[in-house]
Amino acid sequence: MTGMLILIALGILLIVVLARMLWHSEPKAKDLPFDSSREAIARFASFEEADQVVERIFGDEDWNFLRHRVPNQIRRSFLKQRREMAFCWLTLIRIRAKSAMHHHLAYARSFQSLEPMLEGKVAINYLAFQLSCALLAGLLWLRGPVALRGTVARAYELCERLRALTEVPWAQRTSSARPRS
Amino acid sequence: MMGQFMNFYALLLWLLGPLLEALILARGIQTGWFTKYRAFSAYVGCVLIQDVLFMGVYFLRFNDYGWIYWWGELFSVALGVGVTWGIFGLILGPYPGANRMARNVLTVVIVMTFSANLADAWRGQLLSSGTVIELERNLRVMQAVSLLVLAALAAYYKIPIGRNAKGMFAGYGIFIGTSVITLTLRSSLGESFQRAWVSAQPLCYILTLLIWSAFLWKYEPVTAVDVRPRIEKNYRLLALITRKRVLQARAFLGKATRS
Repeated sequence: MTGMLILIALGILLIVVLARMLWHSEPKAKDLPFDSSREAIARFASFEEADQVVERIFGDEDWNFLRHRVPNQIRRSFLKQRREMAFCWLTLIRIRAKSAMHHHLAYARSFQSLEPMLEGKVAINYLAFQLSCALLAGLLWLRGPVALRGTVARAYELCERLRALTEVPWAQRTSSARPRS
Repeated sequence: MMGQFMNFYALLLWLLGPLLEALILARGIQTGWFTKYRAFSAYVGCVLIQDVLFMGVYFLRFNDYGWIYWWGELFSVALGVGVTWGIFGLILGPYPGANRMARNVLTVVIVMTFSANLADAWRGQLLSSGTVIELERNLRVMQAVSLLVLAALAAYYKIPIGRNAKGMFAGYGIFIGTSVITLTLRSSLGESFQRAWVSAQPLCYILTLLIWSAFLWKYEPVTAVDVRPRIEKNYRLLALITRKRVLQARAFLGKATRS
């Protein structure tokens, strides 16, 4: 029964994928960002410049300064704007990584010497990046950029505590197992 | 009355098949793609001859129809493997890297499928059901998996397929997908599905022929947007740079959450 369902699912998947392909338009030359590698590298160089921007958007300095000095309405407006800025920043990071990946794929597909294992690693790295982006977007949507750091810090602290709890019995066990000198 | 209607319906579908096949071949010769897509042209030509032969046997020597039909089916499955190969060559041919990736992924998929079948055989599940329908279904499943791999790689590498190849690929793939479904149901449900199968199978094939007719009406070769790498040995460097960039972008996400 399971085998039958798997095969039927396979057939349906193939039909859906190809029907979708049939009605979708072809990727055009302008959709493929065949930018030169120098141009792509230049784009990524600006990552370092963005470092301070990250600190400012996700940091709590401004928030700590404002929260006891301004009325509720302004605080809400501040948090809303910070969230929008954080989403803009995330979109920028995504576009840059996507551009790098497109550049890679545009060339890699024509390489006779393509290494499938290395290609697989690149794909996995990109998939992990996309998942991280989705996770961060979810957290931003739920908590906002200012609370995000606090959430992650608390989660980290909790993990550390759990690790410490598990390490103590282990340490005790290893010390008790050590031969007395 | 209903029986007569069904017979008329089945006969109509049966006649429609060779007519559409002849039309596709005629357009191929007229527009010039007949010699360009050799595997596909050979497939349509053979299926047309086979259909005409089946009709002759059905009306003149009905007693022999059963075994001739199944041998013909196995022959068309073998031809189908050739078409799948031809579609692979047509789409991935201008892209050696993607082609190499497809060969490797297909090898892994085929080894995994054979291992699973061997495990079934070891448990006695495969040998107990070695009918022609199941053999055809298994071969169609292999083709379905191959076509899925091709679709995934074409989407991943953003390979421009072209209208003709797209029609061949999608039409044949939809036929394979429906064949996998109907053959699975036929081999699992047995005779109770026979009546539906007799109607469903030709209908799916007619749909395929209609897609081919529409997409191969004119000869439109693939418009390859090719970027030939200047230095072949630089693939490793390209892959390492891409990995570095993606990891760098990911590290930035980490900076956003670090306290």
